[in-house]
Amino acid sequence: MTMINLLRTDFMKQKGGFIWLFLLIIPLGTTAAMFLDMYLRYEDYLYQKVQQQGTTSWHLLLGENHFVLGWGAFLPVFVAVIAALVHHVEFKQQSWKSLLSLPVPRGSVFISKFFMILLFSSLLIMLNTLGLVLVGKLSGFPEGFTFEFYSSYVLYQFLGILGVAALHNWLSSCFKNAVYPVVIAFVGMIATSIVRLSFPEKVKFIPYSYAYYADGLKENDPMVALYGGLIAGILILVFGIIEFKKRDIV
Amino acid sequence: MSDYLIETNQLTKKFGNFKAVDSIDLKVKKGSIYGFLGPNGAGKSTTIRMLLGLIQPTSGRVNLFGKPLKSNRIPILKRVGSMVEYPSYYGHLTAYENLNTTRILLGLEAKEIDKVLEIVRLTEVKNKAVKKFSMGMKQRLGIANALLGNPELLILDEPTNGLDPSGIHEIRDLIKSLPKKMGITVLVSSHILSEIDLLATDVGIITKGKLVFQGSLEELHQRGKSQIAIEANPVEDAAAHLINNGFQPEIEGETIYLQVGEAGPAVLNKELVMNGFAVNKLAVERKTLEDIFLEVTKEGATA
Repeated sequence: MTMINLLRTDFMKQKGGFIWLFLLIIPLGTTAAMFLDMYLRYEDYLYQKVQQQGTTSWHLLLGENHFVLGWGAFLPVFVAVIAALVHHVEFKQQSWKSLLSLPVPRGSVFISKFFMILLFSSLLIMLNTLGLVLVGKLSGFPEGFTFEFYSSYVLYQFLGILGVAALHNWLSSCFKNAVYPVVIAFVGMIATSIVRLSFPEKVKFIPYSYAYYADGLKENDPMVALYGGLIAGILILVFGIIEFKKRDIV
Repeated sequence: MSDYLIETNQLTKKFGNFKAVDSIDLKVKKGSIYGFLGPNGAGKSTTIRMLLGLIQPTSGRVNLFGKPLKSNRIPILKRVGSMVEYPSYYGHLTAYENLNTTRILLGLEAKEIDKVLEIVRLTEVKNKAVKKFSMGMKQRLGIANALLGNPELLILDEPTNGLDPSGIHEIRDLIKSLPKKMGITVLVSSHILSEIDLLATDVGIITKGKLVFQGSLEELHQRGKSQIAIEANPVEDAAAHLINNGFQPEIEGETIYLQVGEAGPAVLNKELVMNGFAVNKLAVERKTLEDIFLEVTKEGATA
């Protein structure tokens, strides 16, 4: 019951918040970019590529989104922004102290924030994918829409961000200044790209990398997103709860 | 069960090597308004945060309602309302929505919100975003928030901070009415002595982390014994004369001080004048609470 009430109040606290604008702007941007990509390059170039590779336009569009636009690499940063916004409401007017003076278990407060980050991140992921569907339909792809492929893309992204969501749930609860955890995520994203190029076998130990494996194309194995996300998510969440329960709220 | 709603035992908090709170035995009686007084940075907020479980003590115990806070945090906090330092609020939400978040977490009925809004007289502005509120209104909202769920104990940290005189007056009247009207015990902290003097029934004075006085307000006032101040010429001879006649004067600069009980001013005056001393001033001086406070905190600082 407490958990449901916490989720309810956490949701209420986002009323009219920047998070909604963020959830609107980012998918709008990716959709517009993909639309432009298809509008400019599909008929002359990309469709030929599809035929050469023996794949479908839908697969190609997903790859454009994930690799060319860089959604797979940027998604963890977006999750970090969401986490920062979810926590910022408690820092703005020093609400942590009054929230944690209420008869609610501290662990539940922390988990509720984690769920909020997951909820908003899922919305972001789904809106991005819905945008792709829209672009494909508007561009008049000759092949039929492959629902399974796109829904598994959504699912693996969701699993792939669990580690980042847990990490940034904790990081965002530590910093009063919401910019710091976002900067950390940005640096993390760049570092992950470097490690991916230089030490491909090591990159699987970095939580920022898992969403990148969600595409199911090329040589990427979505199982990395699944196991990486789940294991990192659980480990970091448990660590976060233990630390948060002991923390002095000064 | 003990008569104390709040009882701490050797409560200590260290931040690194710095002892913010040092072996405090706080005792707050049921039905009292306990004024927790001390200069800024004395350890008031740290103590209060430990009472609410926001900060873990380095050593010592906190008992609320006769039970250890550590093992009964949730059931105890259900009976406590609090406002720590500046009121916290969600500025983009209305007063009603702010209270609603607390109400939901306390599992109360919606009508409770209207009740506390009424008490702090914010009913008319309940649908206004709190960021547009004045400091006084925010402070009142903070108290309303603390009053949700009919707490038996109210802990208010510097509730009059940043308020103008009329706001201070209003908050003071509100707090004063609570024990009678609602049977609430109140612990209120302040760095302003006159505030506590007008509000509290009991007082604890903390300085540099140590509790240097604890007792009723009356006891504190009684520390301010009256004394007689005499300016007579020549001062040394006058003092010597008084000593020869069995008095125990103390000289401070050009003034001779005597405890009131030793003799009446008239007797002393006659004694000195008749023996050829020029008495320029003779007054009964009473120490103000301010003097006592400074004295007590000075004692604590050098102890």
